[in-house]
Amino acid sequence: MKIFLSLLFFSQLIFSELVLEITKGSEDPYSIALIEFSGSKKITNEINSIINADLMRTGEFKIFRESQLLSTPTNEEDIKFEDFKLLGIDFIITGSLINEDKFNVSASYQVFNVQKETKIRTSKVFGIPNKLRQLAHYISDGIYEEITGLKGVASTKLLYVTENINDDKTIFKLVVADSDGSNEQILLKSSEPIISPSWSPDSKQVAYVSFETGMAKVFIQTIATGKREMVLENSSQISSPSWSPNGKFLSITLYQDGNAEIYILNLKNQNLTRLTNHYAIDTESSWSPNGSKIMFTSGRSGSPQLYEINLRKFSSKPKRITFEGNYNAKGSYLSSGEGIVFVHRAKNNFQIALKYTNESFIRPLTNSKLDESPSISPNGNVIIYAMTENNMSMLAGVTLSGAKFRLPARTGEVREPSWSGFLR
Amino acid sequence: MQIKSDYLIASFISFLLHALIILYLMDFFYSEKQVRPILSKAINVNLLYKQDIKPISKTETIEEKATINSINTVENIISFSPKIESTSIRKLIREDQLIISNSEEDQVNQFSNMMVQLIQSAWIKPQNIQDGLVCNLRMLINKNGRIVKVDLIKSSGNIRFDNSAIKAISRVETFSFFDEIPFNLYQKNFKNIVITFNPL
Amino acid sequence: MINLKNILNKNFLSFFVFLILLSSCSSMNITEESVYDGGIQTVEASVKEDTSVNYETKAILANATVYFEFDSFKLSSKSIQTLRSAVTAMKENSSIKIIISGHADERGTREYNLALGQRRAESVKDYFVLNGINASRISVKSFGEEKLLSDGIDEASHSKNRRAEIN
Repeated sequence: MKIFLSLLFFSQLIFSELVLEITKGSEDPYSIALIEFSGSKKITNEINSIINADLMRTGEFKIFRESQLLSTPTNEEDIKFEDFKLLGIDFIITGSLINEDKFNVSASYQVFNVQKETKIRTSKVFGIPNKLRQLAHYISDGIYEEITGLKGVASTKLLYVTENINDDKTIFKLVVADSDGSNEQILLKSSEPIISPSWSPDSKQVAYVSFETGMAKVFIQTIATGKREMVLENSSQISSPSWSPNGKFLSITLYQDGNAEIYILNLKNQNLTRLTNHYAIDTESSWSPNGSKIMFTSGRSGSPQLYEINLRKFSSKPKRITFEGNYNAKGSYLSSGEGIVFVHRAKNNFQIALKYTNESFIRPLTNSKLDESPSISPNGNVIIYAMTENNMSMLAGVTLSGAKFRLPARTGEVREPSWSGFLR
Repeated sequence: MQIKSDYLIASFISFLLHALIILYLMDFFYSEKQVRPILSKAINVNLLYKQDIKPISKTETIEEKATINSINTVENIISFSPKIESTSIRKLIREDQLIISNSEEDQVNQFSNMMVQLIQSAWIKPQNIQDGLVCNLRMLINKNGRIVKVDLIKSSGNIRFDNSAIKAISRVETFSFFDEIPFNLYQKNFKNIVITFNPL
Repeated sequence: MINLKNILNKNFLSFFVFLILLSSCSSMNITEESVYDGGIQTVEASVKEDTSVNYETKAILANATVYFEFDSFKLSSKSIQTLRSAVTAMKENSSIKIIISGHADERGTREYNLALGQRRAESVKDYFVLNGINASRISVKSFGEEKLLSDGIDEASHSKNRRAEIN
């Protein structure tokens, strides 16, 4: 365990200005040897360090770099499997740049099973020079998938809000970044707060709440074009947007009764269907993976708890689904639908928790003081959230297997992360 | 997917070798013997608390059960056998079979326990897994105790759980005590084993 | 019958074996893919400057802020005192229109706090209406935890943020 932790400590990104910090690995990692890719050093160094970081962040691997190996193969025939078996390594990864010119960068990579002494995967990824990071992420995902059988999320994107104070002026930005927090691109810049960003199911649009008009309004923006429109322009305050899995509906919170209530908006014909009707606060709606249920936070029992409505049995009362503790909010469903992840308050600390549908107890996943806005990766294995430390908020992640990591520290605050769908 | 000629040749040779190995394992070449059922008994790996092994008894039903208090010498065993009412040879044979199968059963139990222990200590159950998940693996083991092949025959529905079971088996790799198992016993019970991962 | 079974099994087995070997033989995964990374367009939000600042209102209702307990929108007696003078000011000057904005401290989720701020603002509005002020003179909105007055994590800071402001 100690060796594993100290190995983690030495994994640094060489090219990025930001340093990845992984604070805990899982208990049952696969041991893999990551051989330096062959090709022009400038490019392969960056690719290798990104793959290393991507795989480390999953918490599922113990990675051996060349300096830690007994022998380094220069090509396939050279691999001395015995040397790897002695180190307890399960898989070997080799690769090379196939082709690079002004317009193309391509790489091939291979995965070997040490015990069986066979090659189990050979893959090619075609990319372009200024999308080198994404090329490396594709490779990481291919490796992850081959070894664990689960789909990788290194090539997915994160959406979040940043707040910076420059010369006494506060600037809010809605940002899209790679899953490792790098390659930030700004979607929206505003001097007023932005909250509750969420991806459309096809990951081509985002919905968010902006205070730029003086009050909370929901906007839908197309990422590629920047084109955006305000939802229900003639209405007053709107917040908490959440897309249905088929992309046709948006559940939102309206305040027209003087009280937060959830409605479903048909994006095509703008029809509104009311979902809740209770004098208590009802907000933070989110859809189940098959679109048949909506979970939301309601104060109707006296404190915020999670409730669920079956859209197929529309007239029935919402069913309460959290009973432990006196603050359970911002729930979202696991992609398998087998459970939920939400914010749970235990003894004055807000933490991220997991609860399986067929179990009655809550499993805390994090343990700091003010953890908020969890978002689940599309493979259901990693949860990104905002944590507060030294009065600053930053993004951190926890995997179901127990690994923890932080996204690079930056100036200003970072919060409200939302995970895109699969992009590969 | 590009199919190169190298692959075809390699495939063909591999095909032949695989065919030979599998047919051998299936006792194909011993056509005189009866067609055996492929499935052997199931070993339940109930981790952490119980070690429940229920071997499927292949012996015939026995009308009288002999109580065996000690298995020290052959004479002792014979001396504890029940009164012989008549000199029916069939009965005598049946009793003999019972004695042999009981000691066989003990041996099977003994070796099964050792296997379960090894696998149990190699198994790291993944975190944040729901209760009640169960998966089944089949192992093909050679005479030296080396696990030649592992297959997932029933998934728990959770890939991480399945992966952890497969990892446990590959960590064990070889059961070194297999050379203590008499060949017949190995053939019958230990060549092809189904394991259930069912944590309590 | 056993012999027949043998023969059938033999054929079936070899066919079965053939199928398995064909499908799993060189069990190597071969893939090819192209990287896709869509472009992103930046938008700058133009913020409406609130031009309708009512200086009269500001003078009369300066410091008209009421405070609340955690997770509550009930008006305390102290709040009611503050509001009483505001009601009087509004009755005296019938042209005054007010905007009540509700706020929350930073603990808890942002959307729930947005809704909480709204309830707080509504509580204040209800008080005005119950005391004879026409509802059309009052508009209500919430900023949740987005406009914190105090940054600290201690209770004193939190309590300063749980408020409704009248402008």
